[in-house]
Amino acid sequence: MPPHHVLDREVADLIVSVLNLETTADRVLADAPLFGEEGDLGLDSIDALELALEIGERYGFEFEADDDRNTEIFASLCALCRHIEENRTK
Amino acid sequence: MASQGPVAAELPHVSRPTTENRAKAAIDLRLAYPDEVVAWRGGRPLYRRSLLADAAELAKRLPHGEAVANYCVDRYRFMVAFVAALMSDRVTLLPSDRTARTLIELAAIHPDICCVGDGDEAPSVPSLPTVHLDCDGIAMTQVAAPPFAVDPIRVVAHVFTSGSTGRPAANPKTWGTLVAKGHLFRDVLGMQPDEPVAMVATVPAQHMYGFECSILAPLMTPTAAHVGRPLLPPAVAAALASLPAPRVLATTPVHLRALVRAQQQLPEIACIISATAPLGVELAEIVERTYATRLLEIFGCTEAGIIATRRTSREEEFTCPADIWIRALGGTHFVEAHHLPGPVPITDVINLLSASSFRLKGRARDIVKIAGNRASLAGLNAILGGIDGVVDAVFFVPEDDPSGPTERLVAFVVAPGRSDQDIRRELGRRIDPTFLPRRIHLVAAIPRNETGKLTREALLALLQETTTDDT
Repeated sequence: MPPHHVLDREVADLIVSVLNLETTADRVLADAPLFGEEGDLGLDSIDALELALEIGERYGFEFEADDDRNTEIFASLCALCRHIEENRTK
Repeated sequence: MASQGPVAAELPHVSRPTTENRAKAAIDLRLAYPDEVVAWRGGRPLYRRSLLADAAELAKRLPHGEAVANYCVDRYRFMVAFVAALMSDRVTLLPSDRTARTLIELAAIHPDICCVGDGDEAPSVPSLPTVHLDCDGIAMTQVAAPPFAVDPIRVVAHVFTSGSTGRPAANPKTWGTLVAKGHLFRDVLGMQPDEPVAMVATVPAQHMYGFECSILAPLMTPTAAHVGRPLLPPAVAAALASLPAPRVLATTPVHLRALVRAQQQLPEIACIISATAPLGVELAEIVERTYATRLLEIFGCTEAGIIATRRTSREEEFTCPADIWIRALGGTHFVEAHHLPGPVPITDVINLLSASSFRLKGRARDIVKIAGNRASLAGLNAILGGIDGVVDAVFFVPEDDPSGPTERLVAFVVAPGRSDQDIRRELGRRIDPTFLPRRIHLVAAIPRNETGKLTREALLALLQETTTDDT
């Protein structure tokens, strides 16, 4: 598996476990929107808050203060993983 | 500055309602303080003068109609749209969520509705007129807003909740009630009444709590709201840091828990207020210690607004502000106040200690509150049961742990031939994502008793059963 796919899978697992979703990690599609009415998972801002904390702790970085930017970061699994890759310290 | 002086002089003894109201509206909206800050955006103060001018301008270009659905996210623009509706004799609708379904339901109640929004977060219903608001409040205007009259008994806003039938339930608010609420909110902070205060709120302006603290208090008192709705801990810190002291943070236990967990540093805060869900004593103590501040918990509801407050780290009982009192009548508790049109039943279980103090004993079983959003379980059940192919269905709150992280729902559904994903997708179009069940359990039957009633015990047993099966 290429390295970025490993991360994809890891983060998908984390989303499913942190939010206690009934879906499985392989059903979290890389490009599908994570949040809102159109999102397959129908996640909301409180989910984003819980995920951000968990991801920040796991990968050793802080999300930004700019919420507009965070909307982009949480747009999809793919976008989220790209952001983790760029900022992780562990 | 405004015309209240001369108007008052003309009217020594004679009661002429319209002119009196004009003078009253001037006082209510602090028209005499045009240079007061009502909001902050990106570290820049936005003044009352600009707010009134922008509102007068918007009032002129609102499409014909009597109702305005206010979807503005930016609190300055929300205020502009709200005051524009006041000026032009329109009623403001505060939708309970941002789904197209809710907007269509509102349009069924108010056929000549128009939507005002400031971004892409407003639902799009092509048949309804929509006004996009992009005023930034920065252009300094010298134009004084025209004086306008608001009758204290006029209904100026409907705050919507999802009602027990699954349709939006309107909570009408008169101007007199809202004016009192703006002042009341400011009073409970326990700060000097004339002192300018700057506030960050993490809750939307469309819900009663956010409306009272971040819209009404700035309109009626020297309180200025940060325009944003920061979510992540660093965003909350940045928003607070962009404001001058004394600062107030209006938030919820969910957001507070996140701040503590992230060990987020915050600038000095004079007072934090928390509402929408029970605040754990332990969390309250940690927050007060970490941020060297006072943390007040507000007990309220959409129908009545603020009912009581307590300093959770020190007090077990809630105390009502002056002019609010509680009465027990036939097994139900009612909150009463001069500013409320009538007694409002309290749905939570309380233990009344005096007319103005009580202990909270339990949450109402039908109402679920998640991060400032509130829904009736009966209403959610009605929506779920209305989905094609669903024979029977019920939402369930598995645990009611006030110190737990976030209350989430599960649903039991009898729907032969439909998948859980199908149902989730359909449900996602109809309800706010906050209330989407974490798990949808497809079951053969819902364990109703002979009278069709469901007990919590039966549902807990069913949950146990399905969870064991899943693993």
